[in-house]
Amino acid sequence: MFRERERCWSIAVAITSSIASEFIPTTTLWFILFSDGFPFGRLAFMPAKQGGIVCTFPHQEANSEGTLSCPWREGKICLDMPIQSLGIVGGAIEPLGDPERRIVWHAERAVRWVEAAARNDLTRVGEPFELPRYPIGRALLSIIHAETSESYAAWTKVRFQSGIVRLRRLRRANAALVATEFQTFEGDEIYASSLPNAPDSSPANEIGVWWKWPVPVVVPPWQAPASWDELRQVGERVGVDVDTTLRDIAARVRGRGRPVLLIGYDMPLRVGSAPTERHWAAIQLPRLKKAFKNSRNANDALWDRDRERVFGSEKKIEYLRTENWSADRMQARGRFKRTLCESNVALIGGGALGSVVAELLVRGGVQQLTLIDGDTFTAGNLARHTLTSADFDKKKALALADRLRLVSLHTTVTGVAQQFPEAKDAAEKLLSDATIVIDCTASDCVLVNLARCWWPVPRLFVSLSVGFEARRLFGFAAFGNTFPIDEFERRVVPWVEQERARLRDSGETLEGAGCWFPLFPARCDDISLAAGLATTLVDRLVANCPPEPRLFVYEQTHDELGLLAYGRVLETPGS
Amino acid sequence: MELKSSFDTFLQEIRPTKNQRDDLKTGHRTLRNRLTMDRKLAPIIVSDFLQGSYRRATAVRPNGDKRSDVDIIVVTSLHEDQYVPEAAIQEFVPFMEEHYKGKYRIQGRSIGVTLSYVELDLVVTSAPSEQELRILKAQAVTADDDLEAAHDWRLHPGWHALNDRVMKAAQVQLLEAAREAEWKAQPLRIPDRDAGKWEDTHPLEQIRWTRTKNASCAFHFVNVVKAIKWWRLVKYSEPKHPKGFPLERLVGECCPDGINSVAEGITRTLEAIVSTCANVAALGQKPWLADYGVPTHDVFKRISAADFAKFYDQVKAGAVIAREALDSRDQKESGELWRKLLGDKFPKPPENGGKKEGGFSPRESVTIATPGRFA
Repeated sequence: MFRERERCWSIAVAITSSIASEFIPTTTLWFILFSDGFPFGRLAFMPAKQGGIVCTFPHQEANSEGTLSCPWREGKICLDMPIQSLGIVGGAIEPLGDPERRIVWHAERAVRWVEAAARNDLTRVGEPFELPRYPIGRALLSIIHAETSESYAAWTKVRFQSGIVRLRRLRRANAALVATEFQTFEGDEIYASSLPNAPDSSPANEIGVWWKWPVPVVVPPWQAPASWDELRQVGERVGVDVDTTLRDIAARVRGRGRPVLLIGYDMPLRVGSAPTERHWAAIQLPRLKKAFKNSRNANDALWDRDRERVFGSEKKIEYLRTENWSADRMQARGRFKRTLCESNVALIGGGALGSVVAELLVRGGVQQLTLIDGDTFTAGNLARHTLTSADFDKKKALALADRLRLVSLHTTVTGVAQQFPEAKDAAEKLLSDATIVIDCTASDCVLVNLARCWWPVPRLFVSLSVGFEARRLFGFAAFGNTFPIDEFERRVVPWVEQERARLRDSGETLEGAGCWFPLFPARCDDISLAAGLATTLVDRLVANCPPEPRLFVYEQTHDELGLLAYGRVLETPGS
Repeated sequence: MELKSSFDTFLQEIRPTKNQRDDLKTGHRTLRNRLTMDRKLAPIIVSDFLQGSYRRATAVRPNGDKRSDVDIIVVTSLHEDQYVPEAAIQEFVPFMEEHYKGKYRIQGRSIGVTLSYVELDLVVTSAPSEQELRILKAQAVTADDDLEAAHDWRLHPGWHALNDRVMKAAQVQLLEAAREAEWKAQPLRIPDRDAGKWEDTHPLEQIRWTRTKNASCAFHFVNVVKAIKWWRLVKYSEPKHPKGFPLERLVGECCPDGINSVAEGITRTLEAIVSTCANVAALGQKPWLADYGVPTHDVFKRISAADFAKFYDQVKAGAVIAREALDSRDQKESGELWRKLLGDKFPKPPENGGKKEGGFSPRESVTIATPGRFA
């Protein structure tokens, strides 16, 4: 039947399994929901309120009651994810578009899900560990932290179960607080997380409390406690005295606005493995009144009151959205090799090629970048640059640095709005800490100035430029204490002569009437292709540093329809 | 004119070839490995290191096909009371027979070993004092990096060879080496020319002095030495002396600090030799120049007054040419004068370069110089 209110079709079904458990009877009732677009669109199995399961299992949404008029609970079971116990390991694809096959596909899995749930076999050793779902509701505040396996090492040394967390408010569309430092109640630092570019609006530190539990805090089988009473139940089962701890926490945060409570436990990457990371679930507490007189009687009376009004049996826990913004997570979709990410990169030249290379490096995980460019960004640069019209008349280095800080949470970006110094001392000082120096200036003068310098610690030099219409990419790489300009000239000059000839033969590209200086033709998509290839080249060079200076030349090949490929050119020009 | 890029080319042509430099490094490394593996010699070898003009970056390419001499010190623990120099050298003969048969010869105070492109000249020392052992085994002494490659060389236990600086620990030690005071090394004892007795030498002090002088000449000093050595080699077959280290020592004495180019350095050094040695030359004598670190040694001991007199006249003539070349405002004229002084390895000036200083070549067409690269 079509449900007006929920805007979907629903069918009531019963699933009978061969076994039962304390959480799930042999026969359970369900509703199958379909959207209008069936056999495409949404298809979900929901537990019925009458005769269905009332608790939450792994691989299931939080199974709360939901709206009164709705005959099913909110705990949609996950059937289309790779779950070992359902016999799905990658491979099996949901047959969208075929009505009968699609229902059968889901129904078969639903039966297997119910049986696995009854056997307590929904999660198997080796599977990725899944957190319980938290009923976030409509809370707008988010809490951000950056726990990693490295910070976990700091936590293993801590014997306290709770302490202070310092939070800083972020400038965002929705309000957010970043956990900057975890401390003991005495004020000793446990560790400080650094998100260099998390934009902050106020330097003032807000205070919250962290509370560590020995095991995942779930009401069996796998439900985040929705009320304080449920939390007490979990505490009783695992030996945590909830009321005493809450009373102590309340005493610490009385009178301090609306405090945040982080409940945490250690979790593994995979079921059955040792824990590798601290998980936090953030809870919003209401403002707790402070006693006028700091007497024991006054504090006792306050606690008795709060125990009833704030932490009472039926009172719901107000969970907040909690996000982990560590670099490992944010860059899990793909990043450069560790050596490159941990390098201190200096990029000279924030023009067309340099701006794209800088952005790719930063998005790909480079943690320290210095940009050196003395030019101003103008309208004519828009055709092939990452900056926008909001950056007109700004210094490229500074505008790019601002932009890149917005692009990555974890990179420290410094913009130096000057041409690369001619003076040896100034140039050496500017690049003294760099472990990779990338030149994107296509300027022989800059290379001459660079070659005058000498650094005690050797570094990788990469000079990148493109040829006529950016059809060729030139990447010169050398490792050492100084830039070997003689080697560069020897290898690059023959290619440059060819490019000059092509440019001359093609006629001048002038911006317009009255413009005397010709432009270098190179379209934005060709620049982007070259920049992508150049960045990959840098990643490879960091892993396989060339013992001798080398020039890598890549060239586009075309057929009558357009671009075919980007290939490495092995022979030198004229040979 | 200073003609910097012409001098760059010239200096490339007169420095030892890549083959010679690679041969030296490989040869030294092989020798060192063999010495440490030799059952008889390993216990008496304290250290070995490259010294001489190669180490100081003042070596010039030998003329023609000749091999250049590369000096290596082998520090032993053989005590002077027990070993006369000849006996100490003899300890190495079985080793030489085993590894360099037919390729070595005992030559007075050293052992010459013939490699493909260079000749290693091994000079054996007697036992140094206990306090010296630490610095003699440190990379600051044993690394083959010359002063031109290693701008930051210092005689300090924390200094690392150029190919050993990737680890953070090495970088921390380098900072210490840069900040802290240098080691005050003592002279070593080597055989005298006839291997009759032990005498002082201080190669580490020679390296250190050259490093300091080079730094106060914007790193041009070693190139001035090379250029003047080359001038003597190609222009004059007589007298043979001064050459090598005595000539280098004289240049060190007379080259002014604060020079801005090799051209300026050559000119002012030759002029300074003329003025400084004017009295000595007028009296038909030769100067007395103390060796670095061994003030009792006269570097000019083996040079005769007659040779010096001829040399002095050559310097006078050379100084005039150099001054003309330096002061000339015409690229072609200047280039030809430098070539007259320094020989054919100095590049010919371009034909159409006969314009006054600062001129541009005339436009051949309406287009301006087209770039070939873009970023």
